[in-house]
Formats: sequence, C-alpha cells, structure tokens
Amino acid sequence: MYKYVLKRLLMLIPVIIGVSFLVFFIMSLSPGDPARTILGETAPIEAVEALREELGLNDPVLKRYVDYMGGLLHGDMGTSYKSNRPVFDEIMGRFPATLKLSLWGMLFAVALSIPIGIISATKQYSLVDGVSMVGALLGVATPNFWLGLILIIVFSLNLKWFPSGGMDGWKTYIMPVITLGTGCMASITRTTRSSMLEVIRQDYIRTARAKGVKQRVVITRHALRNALIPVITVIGLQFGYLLGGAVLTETVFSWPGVGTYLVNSIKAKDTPSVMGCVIVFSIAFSIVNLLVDLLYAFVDPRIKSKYK
Amino acid sequence: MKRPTLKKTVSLALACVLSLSLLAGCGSSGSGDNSDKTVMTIGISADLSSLDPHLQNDTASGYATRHIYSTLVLLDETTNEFVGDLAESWEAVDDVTYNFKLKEGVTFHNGDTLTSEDVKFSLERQKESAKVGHLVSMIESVEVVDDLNFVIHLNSPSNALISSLAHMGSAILDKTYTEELEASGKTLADAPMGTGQYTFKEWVPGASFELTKYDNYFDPERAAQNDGLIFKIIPEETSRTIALENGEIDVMLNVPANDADRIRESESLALDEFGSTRSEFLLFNVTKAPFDNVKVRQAMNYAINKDDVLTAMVNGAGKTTNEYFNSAAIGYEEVDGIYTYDPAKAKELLAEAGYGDGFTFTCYLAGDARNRAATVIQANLQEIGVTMNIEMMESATFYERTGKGEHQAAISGWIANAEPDNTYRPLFTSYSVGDGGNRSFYSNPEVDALVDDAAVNPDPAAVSADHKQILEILVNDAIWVPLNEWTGMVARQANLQGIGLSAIGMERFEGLHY
Repeated sequence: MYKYVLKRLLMLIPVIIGVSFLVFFIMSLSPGDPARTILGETAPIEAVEALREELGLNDPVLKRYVDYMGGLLHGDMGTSYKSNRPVFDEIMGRFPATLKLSLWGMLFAVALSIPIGIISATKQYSLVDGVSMVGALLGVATPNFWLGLILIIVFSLNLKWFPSGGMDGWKTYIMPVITLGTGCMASITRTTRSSMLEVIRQDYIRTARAKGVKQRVVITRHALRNALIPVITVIGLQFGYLLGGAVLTETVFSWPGVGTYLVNSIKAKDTPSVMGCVIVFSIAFSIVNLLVDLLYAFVDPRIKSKYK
Repeated sequence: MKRPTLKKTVSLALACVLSLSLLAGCGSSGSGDNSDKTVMTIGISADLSSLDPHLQNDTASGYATRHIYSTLVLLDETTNEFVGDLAESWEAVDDVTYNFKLKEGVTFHNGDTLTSEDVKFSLERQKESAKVGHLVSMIESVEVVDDLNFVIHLNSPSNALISSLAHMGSAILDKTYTEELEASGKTLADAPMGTGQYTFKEWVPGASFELTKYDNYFDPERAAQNDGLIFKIIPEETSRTIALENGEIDVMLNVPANDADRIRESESLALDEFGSTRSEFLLFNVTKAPFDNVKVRQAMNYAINKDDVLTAMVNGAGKTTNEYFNSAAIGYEEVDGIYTYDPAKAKELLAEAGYGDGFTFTCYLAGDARNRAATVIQANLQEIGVTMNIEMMESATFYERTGKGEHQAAISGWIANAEPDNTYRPLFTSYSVGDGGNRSFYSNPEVDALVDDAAVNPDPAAVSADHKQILEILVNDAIWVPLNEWTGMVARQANLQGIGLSAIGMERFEGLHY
C-alpha cells in the first residue's frame, strides 16, 4: 500500500514536468510582451527594453525554462512580473479560498446527489425520478457563470438574503457553493442512478431480497457499496472540473481565489504566476485522484488486495 | 411501474425555471439608509499589483498609493494646472536647474518629519525602478540645500519634469523608515508608509484593501472627510453594478456602458459623467498600399458616419471627433478638423487616387466595442465601393502584430495622461514607429522637430504653437480617421458627496462623505 502511494507520488514528477513544459512554451509562443503590458502603451521603448532585460525576457525560451525548473527544484516558483512578490506567496495567499470553495462545492454536490441518485434508481420512472433526472439534465447544461448571475439577481438584488460577492462569513459561501456544485451534483446524480440500476438488477440482490432482508439494508449494504466505484471515479474527475469551474465562479462572486488570479495573470502575460497556478492545480488534481484510487480500496476489498 | 409522468415532470421543471426568471425580473432596488456610514467602500475591477510606488504602474495600485503617499506636485483637475503638494514652491533657475522648497511641518504616518533628504532618497530610488524610473530619467541629481530646500539638476532640458513629479511613481518615501524596513528583510509593499491622508490597514490579495484616516495630515483643507476607505475588488461588471444597487459599495468605478441607463434611472444612485482622455480611432499603416496614398486616407475620413460609430461603440456615451488629440487632455489645441460625413466627396477622392472601382483591405482590432464600431465602418465603406474585412484578435496579439506593421489598418485607442509629450511622442513621431505606439508607421521630420521643441521649449506659448502645428499637419496627412472621445463614468449612491473625479483615471476619495 505505502509502496503504491509512493509510486503514485513519484508519478507526479513527470506530470509536473510535462504540464510545466507545455504551459511555459504556450505562454512564450503566445503573442504579447509582458514588459509592454506592465508599463502600458505610454512608456518609451527604452523603458520597455530595460524591463525586459530585468525580467530576463531577452534570454532564449529554453534557457528560461531550464532556469525556471532549476528554481522549482529548490522550491522557488519565481517572482511575479506584475507584483514583484514571490509567486508561491501570491498563490498560497489565495489557494485556501479556492480549496474551501471547491471542497464545500463538492460536499454540497455529494450530499445531495447520492441520495437523489439512489431514490431515483429505486423508484425508477416515478415522479421523483423524473424531476431529478430533468433537474440533472438542466444542472449539466447550465453554464455556472449564468447560474451565478441569476442567483445574484434573485437572492442578492431582489430578495437581499445574501451579499453579492466577496468571502466574508457563511452567508457569502452559499451562492458560490451552489453555483459551483450544481454541475457536479447533476453528473454525480446521473452516475449514481445508472450504477445503482445496474446493481439492483443483479442476482445477488434478488437473493438478498428472497432471504427476506429489508429493502433499506439491501440498498445501503448490498447495492450501494458495489454501485459506488463508478461514482467515486466521477467524483474524482469532477473535482478537476470544480477547480476549473472555480475560475468562472470566482470571477462572478469576486471570490479571492487562485482562479481570478490565474485569469489576471494570463491577461498580464505574467508567466511565473501562470506556471505557479497551473502547477498547484496539477498537484491538487493528482492528489485528489490518488485519494480517489485509495478510496476504492476501502470500498472494494478486491482492489485492496491488488495494491499489495 | 408508472411511466406517463414524464410530461408532468417536464412541465414542473419548466414552471420552476419560469418562476425563477420572473423572480429575477421583478423586485425592488434601493439600498436603505447609509447616511451614518463613515467608512467608504469603492468597487474596482482589478486588484492592485504593489503598494511600493516604485514597483507599480497600474491604475488599481494608484488608488491605494495616491491616498497613502504624497508627491511633490499635484495636478489640479479643475484648472489643469500643477500645484504644490509637498512642495511649497518651485522655480526654474535655468532650463536644467529647478529650486524646490518643501512645506513645513509635514509628517509621515510614523511621526517622522519630511525633509529634503527624503526627497533625494525617493527620487534616486525611483530612478533605479524598471517600472517608473523612465519618468524621471531626465533628472541628473538631487542636491540637498537644507531640510526644506533642494535643487533638482536635469541632464538636459525637459518640460516633462513637473508632470512626472505628479505621477504616483514619484511618491515621496521616508528615507529612515524605508532603509530600516528593507534592512530587516521586509519590503515597502508589505508595510507602505507615507505622508498621505490615509494609513495602510490591510490588503487581502484578490479581495480588498483598506486604508484608515491619518489624523495628522499636513493640509487641513484636503484632509480625509471619512474614517477610512475600503477598495473592494469585483472583477465582473454585472456583479459590480449589483453590489452598488445593494448598497454593498458606495462608489463604483469602471461603469460598463450597458449598465449606465439602469443607474441613471435609479433614484438611489447617481452617475457622474465627465470627459475622459480616452480617444478611439481608425488608423492606417501609411507605408502600405492603398493607404500610402494620402487621398485614399482623406477619402476614408469623408466616408465614415461617426455618429453611428459612437452609438454602436458605447451607446452614445461620448462625443465624435475629427481631431488627433483628446479635447479633455492637457496639451490639446483646437484645430479645424475639416472632414465631415460626405460619401460623394469620398468617392471623388478615391477616383482621383485611382481607386474609382474601390478596393479591399483588412482591419485589425481587439475588443467588443471596437468590433461593433468596425461593423458600422464596414457598412459605410461598402457604400463607396470599399470592402473592409474585419480581423478580430486578442489584445496582446493585436499589439504585437500591429507593432510589427503587419496591418493595413486597425482600430485602436489611446488614453492621454498629464504629460502631453507622452501622447505626441509615442503616437506621431518616427522615434516610436511600431511597438513604441506609432502604429501608423508615420514618419515626418517636421512633426519630429515640433515634438522635440515642444518637449523642451520653456515658453508655454511656443509649446502651444508647436502642438497646434503638429495637429494641423496630422489632419492634412489624414493618418487616422479620428472616431470619438469616451465619456468617463463613475457611479455612486445618490446621497454620497465629495468624489474627486478625474479625466485621467486618478480619482480621489478623501472627500467622500454622506
């Protein structure tokens, strides 16, 4: 087991190298001069040149990449072009906000979607099933940007229940969490439903029922545990979606997270900041996936035996 | 199992969506009573980059630094004259020597008294800055005479000294404090301290920054009339407007043109409109056919209906112009723009230029507003037989490609600041062709000479004459089709008073009060 975890953690290294290589080169191939962006159009050419030199932008791309990775090995994510502050500090000041939003979004999604999925499956074609499946379809189809704005207009502007943005007290969490979690909730509900449907049609469920086991026990003990594997996979994948979705949700709700920072850094061509954000996102995503894989072992003893 | 419930379900779902939309559409606005508020909240669109005035050159950072630090001189936007801020007085001894005298009894937030040594330290530190050093590149040295008197020596004559000293990059720091802070491994960006109306309280990156009133500010007339300022970062336009309607913010900057009507109609809100120094224009690459022919460029100036362009671009929030320099900016001289909307005249000129059958060209641009303008221009040009293809791109791509001169024509814009040379030189001289700002690739030795003279000539009348002559040459050479000047907009709660508006994006908030 530990060996497996270690192996997976070591796999992070090629992931980071691959991701950083791609992003670094895309950033340097994309047009626009960070020095010009920072100084603005009115700055004289000499000033732009001087800043380019100071930022090291006149070096060849490959040298800059190697320098960057050398720094990264020593835990140095570089200095933001825009703010002159260490990128690590910039990101760590914002990452907790994004993580909190994503985790609450996930909790909201899981807490609602699994029960709904189970009920839908056990009461297939009932009114409840119909409502939840249409709801799930709408949930998947609704862009979270739009949902966020509608929530603000209804609950903030008209009803005045919640503030329109910021991160200041529990009231400010509600709308962003719903916005972020809805898409996820919809996917998880659909997966839970179809996975449960598949399981409850199997022979051993019929056997359990024939033995006279109560419906509640059949569902929670016998069916759910087996139906959970695909659900956990979806949850893991959805977490990546959540981190990505946070970029838009954060913008709508003025949430001080990494998402907004990433967007602004891309606009400013602030390569070290963009790299830092992407690396942190990749690590977070990889770790969540690892946790999901480990979770399989607890749900399914057959998988646990394979880890050894 | 029952099946026929699907119809019911769909109806139910649709009913839910409908009621949600209705709920979104109706409802009240108005923000309740705010008259007892003493700390003012200002909604802005972007986070600041640094609180060290030498490490920033962006609008958002300026909001904070302008209220924490002071500069030697200040632009009075009601008269467009520079007045003393920390400086009691100054005089030019000759064209490279300026004597300055500081106001007495000015204190930093930590109680230190301002002296000439602080000025020398600050300007020398600024010269080393890659972000704002170029503003004071004309300064050779600062000579301290005594605590209140100092002399600035220039390396060559320059009319830009005073306007540069009014820039936030020329903020005056406390020498002892900054040196000790940096020796202890901290940075000024983490603990900014100056002589301004407010002390720094807190910066939560991505969320907000807060300032608290400084009670011992040196100028009672300009002291803060509120207890503090909170700048709240709300990047999304609609969210920003809603925050204002909800009373979560007292002032909203960067008002989207789309929301202007809604704010105007609201009883609890007010919209302040003023001439901004932002100009928009269709520029031609004068080195490329067919725009290397002045008659073709003049024809284009007759062919475009600027009223329609203004409506399409910003819903009419601005005014059309025929001129090359913004009428709200310092350095503006009125000249006869000549051109009016006259498609027949345009056709005539095209025929004279040998393009009687029209031609096809491509126009580069970035941004939705400019794209809307381009659609109108495209239709106008179609009437005189000219086909304009629109190529829209992301702004970094736009600046790179037009900087290299890949374009035939482009729609671009410019925001003039307090120093005319910062507009005349980059836009019109051969020194800054391409990426330097002159994306028309226009090169005229006469214009170069006039810009050079205006930058150093000590006689204001001569400078005005230079500027006027430059603008007249440009109108004749028709290197652009000047389109319009935008209206600046700041929205606020209707009963809030004392906002310091600015044509050049240097709003001040110390006067805010209910």
